[in-house]
Amino acid sequence: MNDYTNAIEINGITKRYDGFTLDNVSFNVAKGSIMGFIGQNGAGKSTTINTVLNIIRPDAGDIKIFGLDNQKDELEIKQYISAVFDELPFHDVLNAVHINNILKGVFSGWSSETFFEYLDRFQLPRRKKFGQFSKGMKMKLQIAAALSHGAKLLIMDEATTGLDPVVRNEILDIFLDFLQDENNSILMSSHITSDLEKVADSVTFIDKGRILLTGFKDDILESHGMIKCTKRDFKDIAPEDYISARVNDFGADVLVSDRAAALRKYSGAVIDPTTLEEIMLFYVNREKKEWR
Amino acid sequence: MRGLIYKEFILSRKNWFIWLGIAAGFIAIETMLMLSTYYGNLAKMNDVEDQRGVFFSLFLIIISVIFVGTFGDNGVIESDYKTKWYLFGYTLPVSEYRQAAVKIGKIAFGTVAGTIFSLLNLALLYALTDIKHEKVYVYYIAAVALGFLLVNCISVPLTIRFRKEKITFMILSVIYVVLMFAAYGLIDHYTESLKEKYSGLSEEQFDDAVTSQMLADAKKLLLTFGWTMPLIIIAALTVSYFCTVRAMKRRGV
Repeated sequence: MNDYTNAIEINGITKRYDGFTLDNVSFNVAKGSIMGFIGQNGAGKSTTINTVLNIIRPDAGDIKIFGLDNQKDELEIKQYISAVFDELPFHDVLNAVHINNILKGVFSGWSSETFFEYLDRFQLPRRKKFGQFSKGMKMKLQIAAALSHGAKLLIMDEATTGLDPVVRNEILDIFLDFLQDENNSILMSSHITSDLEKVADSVTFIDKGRILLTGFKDDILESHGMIKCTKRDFKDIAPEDYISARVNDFGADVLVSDRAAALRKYSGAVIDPTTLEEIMLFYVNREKKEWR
Repeated sequence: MRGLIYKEFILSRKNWFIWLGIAAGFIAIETMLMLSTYYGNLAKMNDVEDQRGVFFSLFLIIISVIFVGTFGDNGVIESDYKTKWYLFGYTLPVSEYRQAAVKIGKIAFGTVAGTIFSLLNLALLYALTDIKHEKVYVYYIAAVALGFLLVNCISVPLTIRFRKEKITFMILSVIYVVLMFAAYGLIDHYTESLKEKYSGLSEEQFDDAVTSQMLADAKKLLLTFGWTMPLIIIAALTVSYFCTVRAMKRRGV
């Protein structure tokens, strides 16, 4: 494989459906990093991921994975990527031994030893049918399969949704182990922003098919802030200075995208750090400007 | 690709064992019936030789249908969609050409396997009876194999395209009804011509003569055109393969 800086480069991807358009989506996932891809349900996360995986053909734009074209060089790329979905895509009557035999005959880099080591680490039975697995077991099984053929890129589509915090934490630790090799990268879509705050290096926020924010997670968290003020003081804040505001009878929470500038302009204001969840919530309501 | 072939067999094997068990049951009945026409109650029938011939052909065809029908798709394609395996399949380093080759290869394998089992059953029937060895019996088996192969060749790309077996079943039913109407028209015309030919006979003689004539004409048809079956099989598999590739290339659209 050739030298590359970004594991994934998405350039101007557009895909039109009735009632929804993925509109000029562009962002990069740097080599050796985790990109958190956040957005509401129906924002376009899965559609974007499906275009990266070449499951959906975009109407416009191009995608490079490892510096290669994701359509022309598809088979070469797919030796080194693993997709993890929100549901186990294996038939209920199969078991882990069957999956080992199936994927051994598909991936040239498959390691049965690595796969069974992961099964032992996750305490997953080898001969139990998947129909009898719990959701957490199914996700661990998927991840074991994803990490057993020398993949350099994991693409996870809502993989931690519906898992309990203990299992989610275990899985996030595995991802951090995976990234010990700086040639490995992860694109992880989720609406569980707390997971991404723990592990993501970068974040891309999509809403209604458009990218609203993309960049380093720490930079985004550092640049955004929440002004907490009374309703009277809120009236003194210019609309162009904030993204949106949650106003109730007790006061207002106002999200600003440039904390430093807001501190200079509204010197008496209390501007608290914010979270990815709040950023997502306030950006989603940006068109209303004021909401409850 | 090896892995995908393994997957197809693992998912089909339970169904195969069940149907092979059913076939074994029919073979047991067939054996008892045939032996009975020599040594049992059926040996006492007046027209035992004719009846033996009828049983021979009937069991040959029924058991061939079971054997060849057993090795079809068995709903694997639809369960690929229900489990989202098809999405996972698109993330694997295997092209649509190879994935389609696995599906069509399975049909071809199934047809060959079913035919071999049917031929073994024919050998058993010859061993149980003193019925003359005739090429037409092999052609009966080939006709059954061809029928199932054509149905599978149509159903595989259709099920991949529409993702549900019931839609494929509806389309095949429409094709079947059209063919049945066409066949009915042809048979009607044929029986009218036989009525003219044997119009001078009594009712019982007429029935016997028409039945014998129809069996003789069917046998003649098979022997005359039987050689075309391998060509039809190759053409059907080829067209089905390319239609399957095309259906798979649609992906998530």
